Parts: sequence; C-alpha cells; structure tokens
Amino acid sequence: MNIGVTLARRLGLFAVSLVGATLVIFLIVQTLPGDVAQATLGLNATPEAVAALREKYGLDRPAVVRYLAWMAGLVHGDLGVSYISGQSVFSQIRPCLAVTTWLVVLSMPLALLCSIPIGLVAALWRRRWQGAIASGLSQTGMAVPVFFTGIVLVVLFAVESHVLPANGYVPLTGSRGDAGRWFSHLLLPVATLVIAQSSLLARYVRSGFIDVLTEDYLRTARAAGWTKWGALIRHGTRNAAVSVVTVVGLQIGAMLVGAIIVEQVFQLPGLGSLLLRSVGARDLPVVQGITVLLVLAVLLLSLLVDAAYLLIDPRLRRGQS
Amino acid sequence: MRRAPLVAGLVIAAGLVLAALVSLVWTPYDPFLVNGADRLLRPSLAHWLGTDRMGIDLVSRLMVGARTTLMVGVLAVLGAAVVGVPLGIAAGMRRGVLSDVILRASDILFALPALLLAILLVAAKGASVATATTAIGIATIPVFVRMAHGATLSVMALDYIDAARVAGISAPAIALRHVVPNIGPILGVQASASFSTAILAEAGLSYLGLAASAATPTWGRMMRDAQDDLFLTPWPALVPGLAIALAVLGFNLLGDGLRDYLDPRLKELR
Repeated sequence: MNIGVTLARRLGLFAVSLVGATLVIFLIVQTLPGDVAQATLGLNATPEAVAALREKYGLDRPAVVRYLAWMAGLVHGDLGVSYISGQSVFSQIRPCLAVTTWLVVLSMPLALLCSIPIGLVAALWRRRWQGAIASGLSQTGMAVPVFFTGIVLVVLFAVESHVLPANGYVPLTGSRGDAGRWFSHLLLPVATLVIAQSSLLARYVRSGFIDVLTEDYLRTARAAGWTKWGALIRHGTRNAAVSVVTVVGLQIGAMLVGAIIVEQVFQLPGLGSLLLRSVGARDLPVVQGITVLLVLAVLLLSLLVDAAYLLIDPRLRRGQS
Repeated sequence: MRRAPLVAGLVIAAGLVLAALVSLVWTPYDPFLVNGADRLLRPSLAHWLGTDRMGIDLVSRLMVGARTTLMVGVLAVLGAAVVGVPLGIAAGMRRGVLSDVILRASDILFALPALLLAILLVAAKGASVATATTAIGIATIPVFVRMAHGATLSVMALDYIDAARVAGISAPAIALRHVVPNIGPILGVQASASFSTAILAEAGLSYLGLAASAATPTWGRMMRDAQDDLFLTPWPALVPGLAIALAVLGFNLLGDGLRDYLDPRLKELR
C-alpha cells in the first residue's frame, strides 16, 4: 500500500467522522424532548407566538429536512441564524475566534516543550528519586482540575502580589501598549493550560521513552560504541516522537475543552464563553455552530497529526504498522 | 512500598465514601443553613476549614458534596460499562460489518469531548445533575468499547476458546463463561481510571454551572461561587479544589495500584 492510498483512506475516515459528528450533534440538540420555540420564548408565551417562531425558524419541518438544510448551509460555510440576536451565527463567533485561537496556539507548543524534559527525566531515572519526583509532578498535575490551577495562579499573581490582571482580555492591535496588555492578560490563562496539558503529556513522553529504552536497537547502538545520550538522541527521539505525536493528536480535544474552562476562569471573551452564554440562553443555532466548529478543529488537527505520523515513521509509509 | 499506590488509593477512596455516608446522618454544622454572622471565616478550631460567603461550614458542605461526586461517578461509569462492554465484546468476537459499525461509531463518539457532549445536552434539556451524569456516561462508553474489544481479541486467540467452539458451545455462552471472567480485571482497572475522569468532568461541569443548581452542594459549584470572593479570602475556593484533586489522585492511584497488583509485569511500562 503506498502513501497515496493511506492518505486517501484517512481522508475518507475524516469525512465519515465529520458527518457522524454532525449527526450526533443535531440529534442531541434538535430531537430531544422539549420544544425549542417554547424554551426560547419562555413558559408564558402564547401558543400563537410559539407557532409563529416555529414557522419562522422552520422548526415545523420534519427533522430530516432540518438536518439536510443545516448540512447544506454548513457546506457553504453558513452556520445559520441566532434565535436570540437574529444575526448570523458566524458573525457572532468571529470576534471570539481570535481569543481561543491565541490561547491554544500559545499553549500547545509550550506544553510540549515543558513535558519532554519532565517525561525524559521520569523515564531515564524511573527507579530513582529524580524520576519519582518527575512522575509525582505529572500525576499531581493530572489530578488537579484546570480551573483550580487557574484560581491558584490568580491568588498568587493577582490577589497576593498584583503582578498580573486577574481576568479580562485586551485585543491585539497595532499599538505597543496594547500588545503588552494583551500579553499580560493572556499570561495566566496560558500558564494554566500549559500546566494542565504538560502534566498529561509528560506521562506519555515517559512511557514513550521507556518503550524506547527497552528496545533491542538501543542496546545494539550502545554495543556499537554510542554513548547513552548519543544513542538516545540518534535512535530514541524519532521513535519516542511517534508516541508523543499520537498523544498530541488525542489531546487536541482535551486542549479545546481546557480552553473553554480557562476562558471561564479568566473571563476571556472566547468561543467557550460564547458557547456557555448561548447554552444559558438556549440559543441552539449558536450552540450547534460552535460545537461543529470545535469538532471540525479536532478532526482536522488529528488528520494533520496522522499525516505527521507518516513523515516521522517510514514503516507506516510502506503500510506496515 | 511496592503496594504503596494501591494502599494510598484505597485509603483516599474509602475516606471519600465514608465522608459521603456519614454526611447522611451527621455533619459538624447544618450544610444548608445560611448564617450571615459567620461569613468567610478563616479556618479555626470551630470551623476546621472555615466558612463560605453564606456562613456555611466548609467541612459540612464538602461532606455533602462528596455524595454528588460519588453518585455521578458511580452512575456514569457503571452506565458506560453496561453499554460499552457488551458492544466491545461483540465487536471482538464477531468480526465483520457489526464490528466495523460498533468501532467506527465509538470512534466518532470519542471525538466528541465529554464537556461538549454535556454542553449539547444541557442546551437541549437544561442543567441538572442527571444531565451531567448522562453526558459523562455517554462520553465514557467508547473507552469501555475499546478496552473490552482489545481484551476480547486477545482472549479469543486462546486455544480453549477454539476448544469451546468445537464443543458446540454458543457464542453468548462463550462470552459469559470465558471472555467476561478473563477481561474482568482489566475492566476493573479501567473503571477506576474512568471514575477519576468522571469526578474531574463532574467538577468541571459544576464549575461551569452546567450541572447542579446552587442549592445542591457540589465541589465544582462551591469553587464557582467562591471565585467572586477571591480578593477577600481565597480559602473557600481553594478547599473544594484540593478535595477534587485528592479524590482524582486517589482513584488514579487505585487504578495504577490495581493494575500493578493484577499484572506486575506491566509496572515497568506504566
């Protein structure tokens, strides 16, 4: 099997997953008991008003028709219209996109950067105190809820010492002052996400390197005269990278979820905040739109991760796993 | 020393269960009684962990909160196992279209994080502990499908399964008599790990206001409510956070400890 076929199959899987996910999202939101129009207008609404709203948003059509209409819109990049504001869902999402994107884009590489040394120490000295401390750190970091980490950081850096702002966001514009304030408002949220994610990643880096350390080829390299570190860097890094890349792929969803919670802790006006506000207001088109967008991001990124796989591991390129 | 994680995990889990059970009959103070005179007290002999913004004793509130934590965890994990394990076994025993459909559907569900699922459910049905439990349960199903599927595949490769087949024993009987007992321990370990994930998810949902209403004490909700008072005193926000972390750590240790206990060879690879 050549690389083209492998990629084509992966793309097919991506398409099936995306359609499946939209189906799940639609089913949960639209066909559960409870009338959307009634819920939007409240219990005191007259039956006529409810009927009018149902007709306005096409809720009187059968579920299959509504799903297909929604899908047709999605294909054209049209996420629908908000029940509450009457504006297009995308126009509501757009100002929030930058906040969440910055959060994730700044956190993910930093989390990787922190997790590799911790995981490596935990793997190399796994029977000694250095390894125990590294493992303990990652175990503890995994157990602590991300909003707790955020609150502790706020207590330390905003409440006790007033070094950084406790919450809020300043958009990045051309002016230098804004850039500084943008940075200071993102510092604690990013640190919170990095702590949570790197603890988890470190655990996988550790087991990735332990797998490598017990491989025959590493012993062979040592026998051929390579030093421990030389062998590890020459042969180990690439092999351990495969398992780390897998985890990064699996972690993308968790990362976005973490971002939603972190936005809430620091009151950042991102996708997560909009999502939660829309849930509170039962603005279902916005909820559906943001969820689809997040799932699309998860699936796209894991597609990229799988492509990265093929580049890292030549064995997969030949179709032998 | 080798069993330290198992023991530590058991102690923490037992402590959690005990606190929840005792809270049914006794708490140091009334966990619901608003007392304006005792607002935001620091920890003292009278109130070991202090009081919250409504003057409610934090120890009492934590004990009652443990009930929700445990209930959501048990129901979500049990529900996910009851649905996911038979599907995983079926996919492992009968390869073909059925197995493909089960595994593909499970993968799709896996791509939807628990929190998103919960948000969707809450958007449709409103926030409640039941909604949160359902969401966490559904999100946990794929974990059990995968685990049961993988374990079943390795059991099915064993000789005595072939022998049973040749002897004319039906597939459901083989599943019950040979597969389930064999994969049970692995699933137990998974249940413990999933339990800590469920605790974390419930805390997150409560913190976001997507689970219990303010009237039901949950650890996540306590943190949400206390966050407004951070500049007055961080204590009421930090205490429930530590409780969540301790509970999650406990069930993680329990899971790891169980795995080492059941299969010492795996210890190196963890």
